[in-house]
Amino acid sequence: MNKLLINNISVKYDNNSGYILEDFSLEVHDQEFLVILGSSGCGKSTLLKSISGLVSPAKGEIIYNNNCYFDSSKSLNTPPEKRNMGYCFQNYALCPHMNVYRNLAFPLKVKKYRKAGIKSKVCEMLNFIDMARYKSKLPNTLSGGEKQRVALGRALIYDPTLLLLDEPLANLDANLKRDLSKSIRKIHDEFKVTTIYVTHDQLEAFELADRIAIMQEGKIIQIGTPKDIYDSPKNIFVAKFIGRNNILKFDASLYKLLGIHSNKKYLAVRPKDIILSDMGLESKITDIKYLGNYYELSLDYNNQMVYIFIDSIDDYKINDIVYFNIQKYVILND
Amino acid sequence: MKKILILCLTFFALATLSACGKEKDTPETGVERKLVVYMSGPENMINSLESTFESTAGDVLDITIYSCGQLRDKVWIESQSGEIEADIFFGSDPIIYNKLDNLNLLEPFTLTESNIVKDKYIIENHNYVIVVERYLTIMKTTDTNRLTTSPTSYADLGNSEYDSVFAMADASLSATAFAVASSFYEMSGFNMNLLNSLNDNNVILTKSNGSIPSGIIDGTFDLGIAPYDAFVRLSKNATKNDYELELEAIWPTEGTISLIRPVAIAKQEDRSDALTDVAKDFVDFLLSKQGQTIQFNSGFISVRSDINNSYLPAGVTVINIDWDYAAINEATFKSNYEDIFKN
Amino acid sequence: MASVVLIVLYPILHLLFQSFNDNGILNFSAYGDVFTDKHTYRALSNTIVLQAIVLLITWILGGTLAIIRVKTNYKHKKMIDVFVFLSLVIPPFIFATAMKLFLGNAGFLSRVYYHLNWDYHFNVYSFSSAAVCLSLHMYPFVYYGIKNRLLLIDEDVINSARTVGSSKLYLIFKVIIPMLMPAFISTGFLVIARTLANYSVSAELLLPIGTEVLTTRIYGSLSSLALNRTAVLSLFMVFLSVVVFIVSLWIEKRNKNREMSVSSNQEKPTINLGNFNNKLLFTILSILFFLITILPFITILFASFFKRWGLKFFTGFGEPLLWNHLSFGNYLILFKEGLIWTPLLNSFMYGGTAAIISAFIASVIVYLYNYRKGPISSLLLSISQLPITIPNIILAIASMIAWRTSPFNFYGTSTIIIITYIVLFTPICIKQIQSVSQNLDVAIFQAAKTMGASEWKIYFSIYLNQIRNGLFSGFLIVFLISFKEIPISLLLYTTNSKTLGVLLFAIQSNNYGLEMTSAVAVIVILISLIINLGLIFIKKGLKKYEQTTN
Repeated sequence: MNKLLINNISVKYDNNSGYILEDFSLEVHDQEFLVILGSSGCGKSTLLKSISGLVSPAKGEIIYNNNCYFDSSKSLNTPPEKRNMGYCFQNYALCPHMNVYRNLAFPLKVKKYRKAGIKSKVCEMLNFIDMARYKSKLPNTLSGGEKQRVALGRALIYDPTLLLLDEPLANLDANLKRDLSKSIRKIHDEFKVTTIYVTHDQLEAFELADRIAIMQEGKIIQIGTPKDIYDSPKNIFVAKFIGRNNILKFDASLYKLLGIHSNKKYLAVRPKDIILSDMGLESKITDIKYLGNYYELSLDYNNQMVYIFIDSIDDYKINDIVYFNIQKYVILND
Repeated sequence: MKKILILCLTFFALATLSACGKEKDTPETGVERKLVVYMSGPENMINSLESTFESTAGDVLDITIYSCGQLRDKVWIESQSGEIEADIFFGSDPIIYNKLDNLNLLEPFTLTESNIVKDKYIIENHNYVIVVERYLTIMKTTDTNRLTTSPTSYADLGNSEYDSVFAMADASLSATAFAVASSFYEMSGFNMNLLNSLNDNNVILTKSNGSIPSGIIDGTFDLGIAPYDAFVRLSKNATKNDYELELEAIWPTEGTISLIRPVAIAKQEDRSDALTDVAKDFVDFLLSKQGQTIQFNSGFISVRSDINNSYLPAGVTVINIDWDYAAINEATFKSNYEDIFKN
Repeated sequence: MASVVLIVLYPILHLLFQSFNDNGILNFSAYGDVFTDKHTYRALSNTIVLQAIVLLITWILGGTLAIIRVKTNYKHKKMIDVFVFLSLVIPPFIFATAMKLFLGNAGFLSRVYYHLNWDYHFNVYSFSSAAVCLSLHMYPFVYYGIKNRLLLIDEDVINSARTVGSSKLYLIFKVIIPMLMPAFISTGFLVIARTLANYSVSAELLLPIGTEVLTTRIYGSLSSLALNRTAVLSLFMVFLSVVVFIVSLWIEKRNKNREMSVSSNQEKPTINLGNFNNKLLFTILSILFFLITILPFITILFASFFKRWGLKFFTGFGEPLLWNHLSFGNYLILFKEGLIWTPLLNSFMYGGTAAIISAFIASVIVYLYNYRKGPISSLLLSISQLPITIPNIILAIASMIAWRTSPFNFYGTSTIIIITYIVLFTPICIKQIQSVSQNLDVAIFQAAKTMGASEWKIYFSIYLNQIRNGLFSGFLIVFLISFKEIPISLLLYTTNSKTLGVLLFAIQSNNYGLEMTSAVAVIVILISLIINLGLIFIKKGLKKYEQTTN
């Protein structure tokens, strides 16, 4: 069972700054594709570095495949070179002085593979990442997507049982991103490798993940399948972070409309779950935007901004008074 | 930033201009400019010669001190790429003077007091004058911890006890050293045997003779070949500064090699006659009793018959170098010399 | 700008003419003489061996220190920076003097050995001593080059190598050092060129045993009054330097794709030394730095107080120091009798004037090259950079021949030294300015043009301001060179234009021994230090000023 267990680790870079991760725990299942989603600086890269051993936590334990790699109580700390994890860096981190072939062969040489073995494995990988014709090129002459494929190939070539991907698509343009994210999922499915994928892009997360973990300020706020997270965000942060959501503060009219009374302060409503009707809550149209297939209306409801999507605006113009109803909502903790 | 930059710029520009301006100062004595003089020799002596001459002639000399080798390189390069820049040059060996005179680059000149100069110092067929003579001796440290025995002849220097502790000037860099090496050649019967034995003895080669006595005092080497006048000056300096001079001069049994220091006036097209006269006055001064006494006090041998040369001990032979022979064979000799010493 | 071409090319053409001039007859005889002479090849092979040793020492020393400085968690990193800086401040000639004073026949060690009744013989006149002196001065070039490159290395490249399983040693030798190769090569060429050009150390430590290198051979042929052979040898050496330069450019170009594209300043230690290794390293480095900077300085400082170097320290074993052999006399002579004032002022003024003019010329040339692209500006850049390949001594000889015939007769004035300095300094300033101007945004200049600014306005108010760091460091580097420069001023000085370098090199004679050389050396080092620190201080002040005004 290639299960990763992280128990209560705390990480800080130097003694003067605060903890980047504090009492952090996480469980990653065998062959799972877990996406860690969070804005920059939330500690997600630090998490990957702690798992790989590039950063040593101050306390806690990291267990993988029933092997303990790190345990502060036993002063146990396996160095990164002994953990056999694949790591793919955001800026590719290819050795600039080695060509594509040698970059791919590098991990095998380090692990003292036989020469013939190296050759066949590298060729196989070159074909898999579709880079065979570039094998003698230097990294600096490759495009971003090509470099990323080489970086992925290098992280996979020595059959690691855990693959750590740090924003591998962040520096690529939209079309390339789509292609490559498909390949990444394909790699995962084919190699059956447990994968932790770090990103700040929710689209990527939804496209790839078995489970998504939302991270904020060194903590996991919510973890679950993409559908769980989308449908039931736990708090305002998650609600705002995942897709368009209207965050509304409860008031008397809302309680009345929804027929509930909660001690919670906020609710989240997706724009598509708000419909205009003859009855409901009164609001004023403040802005109308054309977004291709639909229009986005900005409504002012008791000084709260509400966005809704409609197909046609024939009947509406700015400053009209309209009424809306809420079809589906989530009550938020904070 | 800009202000500081401009400030610096202005400062440097002004400073340099004022410095350059000074160089082109004209003297107050009526001639168009100062005489450019290249000299080699001890600084104190040259300063004393300058101030004594200028006390009567006015501020007319612009003296630059070079080593013998530097002086000769400079004059030669100048003569080859135009005119010799110096009006007067004094020091180094006769070869360069002969060469320049053969190219007709030296101003003809007659000494006012030629009758008082000893016959052997009178140059008949060339336009330069011998000012002083100097004698080459072996010098050694008196520190018995460093050196227990004393060589008595040049030939002794090839003995194994002087391995790696003996120094002489490099004949390919110093004119005097060239003279020494070629007289060694003549002395050993026109062969390189003596020089070969010195090389086998790991002789240390210096840039000039001048650095040999101080090198012995410094302890850089224990003995070497150097002109006696340096010994005279160092002794005086030691007395003045109250320290014991651990240096001894040995007059070699083969004899002392005699070196001569000539002076010449270079031909210059645009120099006025008045200025040339001042130049001649200066040469006359160098051979005057006053001028010769100053040089004698610095350890040099006067060419005048009315100054007693007390430096040379009785019974020491003086070996005179055949400069014409040396000049003719310079190229061959140097090539042989390099084959031995340059590795 | 025609004057730039003139001051660079005119002397070289004169040199070329002299090489054919056989006492007024034009022929190739000197070429035949030089290239059939086995001593030419001996000097060449000696030069190459010297270069190889110096290269090896500087690579190992500079490279190791840079890796320790950037890539380990060594605790006393400031110490490395300070001492490397000190090594740069001490000129190689002074290293050579210190070596003679400490290890030589009458040096400190021999005297201590003597008192202990031990035999002592160390020959300071050797290839290895010359190589050590040159290396101790030049390893900072390698250190700075490697350090800057290391700071550019993307930390994640090293991390990725670690996660795939490479050990520390494998990491250093297969990843870090190969990535540094371009920096090793470019600093290596600098070391090779500087070793080729050095005169003073070889004259001091190799000539005494009759070992010639190319520079001393040139000086020797000058002494043989063979101007045409000197010219041929000089041209030969220029040719060699140009070859070295072109090969280095070619390799640099070839390596461009192997270079880092990341330029974030990453100073995170990758190699954890641990407490014991940290202490061990501190001990080793302390000893090393003591030996290569503090000891030489103490040696010359102590020697400078001797009435005469060579006087005894002690009368016997266990006896107290002979205090009456020590005095401030040497400094009194230098300062009171005025021996040092003129050279000091001259060095300051020639260096300062030439440095400012060079920085200005360089800025204009780089400006033209970058924003007035065309064959003329490229040619101008190439011509003005040519002297970087020409050893100082040859610049001096060429100047000496060229600047004494009308219409350009500067001979015997300080102008000739300043002009030669400008030729020497301009390429160095160009290099500094270019490294800064590469990062300039062309759009700023285009914007200024669309707003109607004139060329001069753009140059003065935008360009100069943008490249000020390059201007400043260029000025600093060349200004400091002028305080220790020996060959140019040695050949070109006259009474009033003696420089500190001349004083340092030539003061040792009948009157003064190594003690006086030491005193001058102490002054040269202190002045260089003061100017350096002063300029660093000004630079910091300016930065603060900028921050507050922005």
